[in-house]
Amino acid sequence: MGSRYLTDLADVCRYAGAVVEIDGWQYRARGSGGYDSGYPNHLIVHHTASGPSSDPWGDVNYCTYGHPDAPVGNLYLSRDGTVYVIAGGAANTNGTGKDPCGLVPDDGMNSRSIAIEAANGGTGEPWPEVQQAAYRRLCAALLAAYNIGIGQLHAHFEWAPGRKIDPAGQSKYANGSAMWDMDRFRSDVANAGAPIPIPPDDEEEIMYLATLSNGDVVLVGSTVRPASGEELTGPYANLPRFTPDPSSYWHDWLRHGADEYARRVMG
Amino acid sequence: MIGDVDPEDAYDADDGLEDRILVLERTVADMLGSEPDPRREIRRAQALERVDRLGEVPPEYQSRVDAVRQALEDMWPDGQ
Repeated sequence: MGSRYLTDLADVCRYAGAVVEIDGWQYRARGSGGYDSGYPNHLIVHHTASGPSSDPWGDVNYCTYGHPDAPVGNLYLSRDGTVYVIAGGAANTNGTGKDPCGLVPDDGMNSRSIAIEAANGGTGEPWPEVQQAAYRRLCAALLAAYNIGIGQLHAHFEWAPGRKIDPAGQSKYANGSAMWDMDRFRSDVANAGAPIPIPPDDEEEIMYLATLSNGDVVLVGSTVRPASGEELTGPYANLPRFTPDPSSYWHDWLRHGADEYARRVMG
Repeated sequence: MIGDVDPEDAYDADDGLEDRILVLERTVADMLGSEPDPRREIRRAQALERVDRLGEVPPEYQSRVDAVRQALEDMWPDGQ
């Protein structure tokens, strides 16, 4: 049983945009528990094959509690680009398959990867631009934080060809209901980088930006480094930790959505 | 794919024997309720490979493994 839980996962995801933490995510895992030393070494991207009416809470509840094999995936990416953090340990969703790059044993991906379930019907439903951009940023942040190579970013259909088709659907990476062009997606992720916080005047404060679907860049939150608390690891070790303030603009943004926030704040 | 989760999505070769057999049993049950098609044939062939990879199992598991193998072998691609 692995003992590595990604307890900094929510912090890493914040570099992609808005994050909602599902209670208990830090030590939620499939039966095998956390990851073994040296893992995760893969990132697997999926679509949910579910409709807009269950996005987000119907899907998030199903992934976290409702499915008999829960947790299904580590992260859920909604159509509006918000990331829901479900499990810091290994999750169920990749299942049987074969690693295209040969680093993971057959049928061994669940315990060796981070899995993202992105909300999309999978039968040609257009992927919103804001969600596609968040998917790229999220992947870039995860790869950087956990030292996973771009070559170890795979679609579920690359791991389980013939059995799975996700991610698929109308987007920058596919026409109609076709499966995504993963080489193109990987190229974009490699060039996406992680969002960079504005250097604060006061070293205890940090501001966060988000890019809206209309291309505007807006301030979505500010935070104060906790006086004490866990240190971030990896490439983000020197960056301040994000601690949401319930009265902050960040929460306004979560409640009302980025466009509504921009309308109210920017007129 | 949470809208189309196969039982074998929960399978991991590192899991214990009980867990692996349980997923195989659930896979068979799931496939028996689906129409024959190319995807089902892929799942059937992969499940048979996983049964093979179980190798020798303790006697208390043998009947369950035999039942899974028999069900998969009886599940012809054309549904006959």
